[in-house]
Amino acid sequence: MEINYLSEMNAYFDEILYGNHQKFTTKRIQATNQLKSYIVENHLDSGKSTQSYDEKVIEFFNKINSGLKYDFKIRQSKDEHLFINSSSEGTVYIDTSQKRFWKIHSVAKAEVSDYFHRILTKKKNFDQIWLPIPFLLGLPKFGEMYGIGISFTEELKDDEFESLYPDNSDNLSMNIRRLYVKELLKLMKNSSMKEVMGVNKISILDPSSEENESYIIDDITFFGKVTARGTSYSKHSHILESILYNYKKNISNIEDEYALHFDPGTSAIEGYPIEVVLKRGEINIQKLVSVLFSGNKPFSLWGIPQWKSENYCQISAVDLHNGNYGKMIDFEVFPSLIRAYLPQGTCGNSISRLLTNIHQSIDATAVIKGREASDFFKIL
Amino acid sequence: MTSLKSYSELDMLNILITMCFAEKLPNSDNIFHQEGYRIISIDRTIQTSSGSIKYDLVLSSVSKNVTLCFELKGFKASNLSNDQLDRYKGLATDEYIGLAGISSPNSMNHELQTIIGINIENAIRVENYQIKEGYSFPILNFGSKSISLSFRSLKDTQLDERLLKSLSMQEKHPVFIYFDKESSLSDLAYRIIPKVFSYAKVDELTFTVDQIIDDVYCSVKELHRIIGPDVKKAVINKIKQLLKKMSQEEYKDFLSWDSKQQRWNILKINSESHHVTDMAYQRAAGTFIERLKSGAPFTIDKVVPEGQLSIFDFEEDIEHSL
Repeated sequence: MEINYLSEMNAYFDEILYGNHQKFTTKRIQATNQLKSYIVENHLDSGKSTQSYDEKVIEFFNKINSGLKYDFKIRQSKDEHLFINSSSEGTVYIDTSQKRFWKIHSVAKAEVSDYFHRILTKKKNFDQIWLPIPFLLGLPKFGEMYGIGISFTEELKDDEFESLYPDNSDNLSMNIRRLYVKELLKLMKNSSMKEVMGVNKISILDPSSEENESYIIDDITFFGKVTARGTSYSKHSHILESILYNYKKNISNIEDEYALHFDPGTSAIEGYPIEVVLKRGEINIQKLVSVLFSGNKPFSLWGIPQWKSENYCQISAVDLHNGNYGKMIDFEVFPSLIRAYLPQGTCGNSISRLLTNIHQSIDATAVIKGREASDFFKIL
Repeated sequence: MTSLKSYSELDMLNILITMCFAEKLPNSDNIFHQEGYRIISIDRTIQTSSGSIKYDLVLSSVSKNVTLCFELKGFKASNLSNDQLDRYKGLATDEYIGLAGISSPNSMNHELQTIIGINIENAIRVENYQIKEGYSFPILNFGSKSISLSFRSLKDTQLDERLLKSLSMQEKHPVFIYFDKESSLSDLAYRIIPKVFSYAKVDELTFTVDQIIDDVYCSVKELHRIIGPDVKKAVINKIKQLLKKMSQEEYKDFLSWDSKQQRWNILKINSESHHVTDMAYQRAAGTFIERLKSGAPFTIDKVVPEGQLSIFDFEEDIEHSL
């Protein structure tokens, strides 16, 4: 059946989810066509152009399709917000209802959809979303905690035996399902290792109720991929919308309230420097600065550290990450504080990316202090 | 009274700017904004009948009809001069506010007050100096964790009361303005080199000196417009010197001057440049800045990488074969 509207897409995914659920409950077969949804940030609509938005989207996908290893072909559906990119290996559905944050869905193999997501977020003006730990831990608000994934890639300490583990860059990695999640979270809270236990994934269960049997389990990763298992696309869609609503609010808050600018009309300086408070003990500040501003992944910031004293460094950094490519952000680094001065016009995603990467490789307990103590990345 | 930290003039300016923010920053007080003061100018020269007047910072409140003019003396405050203070003493308020473009509901009754900002360890010496020389400017004392007023009161009694109580201050104060006339070439290089890279990465492959100075001077957009042109001029000349040096030394392959267009051109680096090219640009920064600081001369690297033949290898072979 050819899909021409978002409503038809929704119905299709409902069928897939239910079919997979049946396969598992009756035959214990794990489906290979699980529903994956990805939230992607883009600035395709920025800049001057005589093209309509639809034309821009089609042109964009025609261009990237030509370089892909699968034979994708883009078409616009009858729904103005739905674009469909099909290949012999599977189809990707692009929901552009929100111009800045697209939702991309697919039931193709993860190998195909992840590849598509990866290529897309390498393009200029495109970026994944970045969900820091407080945001992920707030998501059970939309269901029940079903599982948690933890990983950490140590950047501050060197392991002399690093070369013996070429396949796995993580120093710590585990997945815990619902029976032991609460216990683990309690352990983490009081453990000396909490600084290196980066939450990279949360699983949420929105269970069935007495009125209906529909349920969903969504695995939500820190980079905005949501994998669904269950019987209800509507519940999956609700969780996705909740993530997007809260994420957008946080990003807009950063861009509107924290970006620095001088208003010549009122002669007032608006904005607020953003402070990342590091709670991990014994941080080697020289190593920290080297990791943050080398220009390499995951931080993708390049600048020349200017050491004002042995514990204080200023850096004027160029952001080499796609969503904010080539723009400057000024930083100051202290042993337990990183201060960022966001100029007006900077993408707020840069800050969520900074914090997320700090959580995954520097200090899983770092927090951003805004005007109110728990300003940043809370679930509303 | 001693302070663990001794501030430069630029440090003091950045601290005062913190106090002018629309929002209160962590561990600091936006007292000037709260009391209705707005930034009028930074380091701007006004030619008056008393002579040339250049305050480091001028704040004004329309509602209170008061202007505060700060003269900041960093470190040991060793450059206090009678010549300068006499000009401040003899300044006609209505003339100054007219020339400085300061709004006033009633210029005849407008109050203008000069305040001297110093490190707190110099307080007694500066007070004694003022007494001896017949000046009566309030002193704003910068300590490592607090700011306080001494010697004379402010005409704005509300502000005076608050400053007399001593304001606590962030130990690690934010920086908004990066340069002044004391900044060295290496100070500038830390911001200029990445800024050139930034231009290239968004495919802005030419720039003027005026453009780059506006972009690197401060971290607050548009604030550079109220900074006086003569202090910018001092920095502009240094930036010109720096760019010329860059284009002749480590960055000779990346920068060239177009004298016809009066613009700098960026070479090799752009939004699509190869990672190796980008790395070469980035690596050059360390060597260049170290040499700026040490004064070491620029030399072209004649060492041939291992495994690569040079012409000198052939000459030896030829000699041996004869």
